[in-house]
Amino acid sequence: MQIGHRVPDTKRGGYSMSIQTQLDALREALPDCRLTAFGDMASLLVLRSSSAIPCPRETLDRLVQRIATTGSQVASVDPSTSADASLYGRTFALFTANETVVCARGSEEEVSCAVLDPAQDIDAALHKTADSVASITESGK
Amino acid sequence: MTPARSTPSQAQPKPLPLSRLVGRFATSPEKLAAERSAMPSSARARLERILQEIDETVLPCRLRVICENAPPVDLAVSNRRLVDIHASECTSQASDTRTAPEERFAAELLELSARAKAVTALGDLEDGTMAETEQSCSVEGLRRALRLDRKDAGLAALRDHLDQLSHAHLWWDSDTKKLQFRGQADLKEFLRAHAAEMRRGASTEKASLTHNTNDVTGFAAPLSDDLVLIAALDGHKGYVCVAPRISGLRALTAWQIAANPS
Repeated sequence: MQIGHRVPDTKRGGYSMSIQTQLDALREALPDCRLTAFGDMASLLVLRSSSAIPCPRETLDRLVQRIATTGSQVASVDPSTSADASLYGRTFALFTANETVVCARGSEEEVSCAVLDPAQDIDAALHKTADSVASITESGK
Repeated sequence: MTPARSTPSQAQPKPLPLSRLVGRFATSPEKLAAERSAMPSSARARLERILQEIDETVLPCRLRVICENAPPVDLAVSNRRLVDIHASECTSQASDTRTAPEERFAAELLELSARAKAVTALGDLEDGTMAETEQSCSVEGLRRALRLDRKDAGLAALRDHLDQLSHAHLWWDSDTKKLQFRGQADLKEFLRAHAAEMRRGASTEKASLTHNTNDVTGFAAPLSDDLVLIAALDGHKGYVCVAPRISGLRALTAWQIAANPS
């Protein structure tokens, strides 16, 4: 497995290896995935990331800001029509014509994301990212 | 590589049947490896490659698509038409309500192109039962269903992909700024609330959907096991809809593929 670029862990050293392993595994599992990251939406910090080539900190900062802003918008939706949803409120995808960013929330403000080349299977990516952040959250307990 | 292009050598006094030649070729690992390495890297190029293989296959044949982290998928092809897709159990995550074969095949090819690593022809001539059926689709029909020949990557193209399958949608443009709604009445208020949120967000620096670009930006959020909310902005134009989750997300993928021809 390709190890990839790592951002120094600034907050949760206790289970950082587990996070990195999960991010590396998620990047390997998603076709045409450029980057995976785990961050905190409240502090707008990317805590760990995995990418084939080094990713500038500024790019990671912009990414987590986009995710946090859209995440709050998604969370504001009235869930009354969809109370039984397995993914509702936990996952969403940002898209342009040229890329997709799939995001899944863990507990509280933690979020995992994966940046994909266009034209990937978004639903499958949402599920895999949700599973990944669940594993990270579980390993941190 | 397809049977249409395979011809037995004239020099052989007693040529092998074409089916055995094809079968031998298909089970030759070194030749398969060469084919696999030739698969393009982008999803759009992979999709074009699969369509090209279909278009070049005249005799009844199975095209096997080797997938990344998934079992292979066989395409039944005859007379340059796609007759059937023998997908593995993990490829279909939910039933699709669309019944037109072009739409169904297009959706499955779309998924396939995301993880295809190689495509190769397998000889399947011995049973000879794969006749052309009413369900078969030409490559032209598949391209139409995939909207591959649209060059517009804008909001109108995205709407074109989503309008027909959505349960309800709402849009506005920069001129009128008036919200226009179509679809199930019970979703109107839900969409109006979201549109208002988007328009508020678009007018602030913290806009989630307008980050350093004038292109279409948006998000998709599952609402339930069956539904997805899709919202997009292009400057002061906007669109928001509630669509079936699987087909709505596939439509987004199809829009991206159409927008990235290289």
